[in-house]
Amino acid sequence: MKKNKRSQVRMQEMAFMLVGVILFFVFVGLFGVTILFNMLKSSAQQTADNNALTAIKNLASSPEFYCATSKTNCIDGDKAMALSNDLNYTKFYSFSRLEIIKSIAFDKNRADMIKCTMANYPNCEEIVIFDKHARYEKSVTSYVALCRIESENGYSYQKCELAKLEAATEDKDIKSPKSK
Amino acid sequence: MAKKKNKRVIRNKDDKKALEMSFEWIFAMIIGGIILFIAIYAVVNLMSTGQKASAAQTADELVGYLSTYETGQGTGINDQIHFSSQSRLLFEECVPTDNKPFGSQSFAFSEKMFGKYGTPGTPIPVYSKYIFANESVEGKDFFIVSIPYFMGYKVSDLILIYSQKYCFISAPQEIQDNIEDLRLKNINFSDDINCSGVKVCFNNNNRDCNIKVSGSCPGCQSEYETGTVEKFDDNGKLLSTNYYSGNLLYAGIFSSDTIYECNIKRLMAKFSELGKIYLDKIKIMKTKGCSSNIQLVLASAAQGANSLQDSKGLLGIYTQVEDINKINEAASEGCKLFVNE
Repeated sequence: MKKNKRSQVRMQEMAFMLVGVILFFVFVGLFGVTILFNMLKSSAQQTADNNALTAIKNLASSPEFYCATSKTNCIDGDKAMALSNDLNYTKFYSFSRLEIIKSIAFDKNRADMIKCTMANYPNCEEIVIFDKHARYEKSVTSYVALCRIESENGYSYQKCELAKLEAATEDKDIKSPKSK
Repeated sequence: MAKKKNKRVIRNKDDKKALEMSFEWIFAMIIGGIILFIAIYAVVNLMSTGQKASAAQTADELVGYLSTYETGQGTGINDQIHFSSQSRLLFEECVPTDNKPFGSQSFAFSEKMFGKYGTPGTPIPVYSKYIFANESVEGKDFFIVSIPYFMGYKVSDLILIYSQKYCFISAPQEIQDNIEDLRLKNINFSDDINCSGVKVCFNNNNRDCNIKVSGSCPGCQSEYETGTVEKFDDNGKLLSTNYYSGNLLYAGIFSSDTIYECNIKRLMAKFSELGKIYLDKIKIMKTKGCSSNIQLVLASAAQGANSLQDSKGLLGIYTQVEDINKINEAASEGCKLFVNE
């Protein structure tokens, strides 16, 4: 009877120890998985950032933007205006926001810039191609020549000015608030 | 009965080989076994997940890398990607009706480990690129070529990916010049049907040809401006016929029938969307004193492209595109809708 009771106590001890061992491995596993998941998340974000940077560098050469001249790194303002009216393009690019800011508005807050519409173009400062209104985003910029057709005394010519093409991607790290 | 029981006890006591094991040990071994099984299962699963994640990341990085293949107004870019181990690019999904109106294409990556290919990573969707390749491209070295595709204005860059060797038989001089200008690798020119690699024959009816290219544009600058690319199996049975115009000739050679037809629909949707942009641009240009009668033919071509069923329809749009080109060429220097240089 005494021996039986001692065995029961030893079994209980072993059961506790086993539960402890299982819990230990579960915690170690969870810790490892969390670290791996975070590493994966940050590398995915880094890849997305790199992809956005590469994409914006080459965006001016894409058929939607390139100028009606043989200039490189040149954006056709007239096409950009037409593009801003085409909602289908929000699904074409992987950016959360894409816009062109003229040099006269470089030091202005986005809220203070005069947005371009068909009515006020070209006397405006910001051509918003699309904005998905992401809560948190990271943006990359590329400086370009923004050209449009102008006419004087019946003669049509290309007028160009400095602008920056700004593309934003949704920030999944969610640490910093939306940039100004 | 009692006698039998006694006998058994005595036998057990006398048996020196028997291993006496308490219940605690048996219990510990069972639980230990379960823990070990769970641990091994978790490690195997984690390894497979890690492999999938790494494959997905490689595919994602490749998508980013392909963004550098924007030719702008240039003639083409070519490059070679080398992987340290045997790898596979899988282009199994191409849906022209997805992400309307542009469609989508996705590709996955898989690497050979311990003699067999691992589970491919999650397919990465591509919306703004048009990749022409076979469903599965295998090897350590992958050749990537980006060539522009024009239908009046530039529609997009065609990205061709291949790893096989090709032999172009009886290729006309203009095709040879194009390929040499693009510096395409792993392509030989020959007049001998027994040359090694995928045999691409030009206006040649030999049964040993894997691919036959025919030109059908007699009045054009080049006979191969439009035409067909036919693919055959090893017994000479016709597998598919794809129609092309311009640089789509090369896309037809290097890609499977399914991917080609899917990407043609996607390209035509893009041509149509770009057409809308150019139509809006014409409105802006008109306010600057540029008059244009390109509108009607452009609107009609854009509409035709949108309702295209298969590559056969390309030839119908091609004639409208020629009209667009002529009208644009005739416009004054500052009033050209597009310039392709």
